[in-house]
Amino acid sequence: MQHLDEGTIHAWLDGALTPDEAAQADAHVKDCPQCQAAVAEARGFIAASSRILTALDDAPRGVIPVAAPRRRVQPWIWRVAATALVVATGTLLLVKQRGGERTIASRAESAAPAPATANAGLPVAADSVAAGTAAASPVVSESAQIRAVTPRATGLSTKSLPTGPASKQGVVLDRTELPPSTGERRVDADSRARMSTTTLAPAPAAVGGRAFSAIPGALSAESAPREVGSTRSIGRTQTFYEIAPGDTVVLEEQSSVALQNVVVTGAATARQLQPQAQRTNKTASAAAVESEQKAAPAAAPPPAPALPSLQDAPTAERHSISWLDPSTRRVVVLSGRHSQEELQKIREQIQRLRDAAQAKRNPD
Amino acid sequence: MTDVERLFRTYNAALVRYLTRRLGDRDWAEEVAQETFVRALRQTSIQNERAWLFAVATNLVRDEARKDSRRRKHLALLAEQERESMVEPAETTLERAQEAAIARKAVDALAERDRLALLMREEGLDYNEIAEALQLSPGSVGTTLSRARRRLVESYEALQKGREEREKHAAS
Repeated sequence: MQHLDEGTIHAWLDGALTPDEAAQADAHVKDCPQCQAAVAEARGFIAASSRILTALDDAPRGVIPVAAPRRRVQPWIWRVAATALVVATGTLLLVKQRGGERTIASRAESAAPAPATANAGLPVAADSVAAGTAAASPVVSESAQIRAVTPRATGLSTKSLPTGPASKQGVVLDRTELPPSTGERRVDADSRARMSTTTLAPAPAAVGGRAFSAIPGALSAESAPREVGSTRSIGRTQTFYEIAPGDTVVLEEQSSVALQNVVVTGAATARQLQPQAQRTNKTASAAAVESEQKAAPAAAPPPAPALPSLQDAPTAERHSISWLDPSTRRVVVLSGRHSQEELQKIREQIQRLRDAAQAKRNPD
Repeated sequence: MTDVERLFRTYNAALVRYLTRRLGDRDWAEEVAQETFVRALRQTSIQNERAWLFAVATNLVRDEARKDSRRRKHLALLAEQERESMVEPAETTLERAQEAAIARKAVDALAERDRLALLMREEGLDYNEIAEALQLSPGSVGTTLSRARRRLVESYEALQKGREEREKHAAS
């Protein structure tokens, strides 16, 4: 039997051969060192290409042209979530601490400024309500703080956290499931406090993920890049330039300083990547040697003429160019739906734009 | 559950990943995937669901270039609305960003058909499905894939080497 061609080897490894063909391939490879090497090489290519493609899954969002670029929000989400967690833990501790003396009504008060009617149906002594309200006041003011922070943080003006409804639900429970003994009530209240912790936590994320208002850009001359907005996050800054309506390029500046500062994350990633990279290096160099040795590789059949439907998408291609900015020591990546030559031109235009802005700021 | 819901649940993740890898933009990928399922909604019957969905998504990507920007903005708005409740993934490090940039370049360097066949294979399509989606003969899929993989790895290695040399040069 003649040697297996590369396509057949890949089909075999992909499980795409019929049982008969697979058996033939198997029988041949057993006795053919040359094909064994080719199979090993193919395995290397399959694994390496899978790994390379996985790197594409961290694709950025919002590179498509939109009127206003979105700001990244996660720092605020964490801040707001952390505040919520602190408040919730505080509430839990307070409830636990005062659990001996307090009644359900006062706990309902501490969870949120519940409507007065919530207390109306509850058989509680007036002094315990007073005590509960006093204890609750710091908690209430803290959750009020969250509300004050959230709109500022996310750019929303009116949306408030759904603490109210969640706590009200707790109050309703109080009424309907009022247990007969105080001991049971305490347990009930503790579990409710935990419940309010869980209802609080996801709320900021939902709020933080909302859309942001448009950043109106200034009008300028045609065909020159126009800055339409920028986003800033740890380790990088993205600036969006509109080349023409519906055509936006992204200038991403990555600060090398940030990488050194986040050694923990960087090292973890590097550990993951390095052995694989070395393996790939070996595979590829081995592959290179082998492909040279294989002086007469089994000729791959020429590809069938491509369908027009698969060829004509030149304008949709995204390209990117990257360089190291000597003044800032930052890696800069410019990407957009342009050829690399066009991107080079755009880069120059942006540089001029920036130089002009810089000159305006420092007239001397 | 309607049939399209089932289709969506079964194939959306793979389709979005395929399109993200193809387009380099998750927003755009999600839009195209949505549009693909909208098209599926209009179909009375689909023989091979996976091959059909990937073929339609691939054609939509091709057509995208011809669409006007207004339509694209509208879709972007829809995608944004849908995303409101989602939390962004963790920050990428510079190292990973560079890896991704090189991978992107290497994938972009492939011929369109090789690239699509490879990306479909990565999402688990078998040779018959790839042949159907890309209108190839099933016998040529192995050759297409072997060529795509070899070229991808080789150009990735070359780009990686170039980067290392540049860094060495910059450091010295």
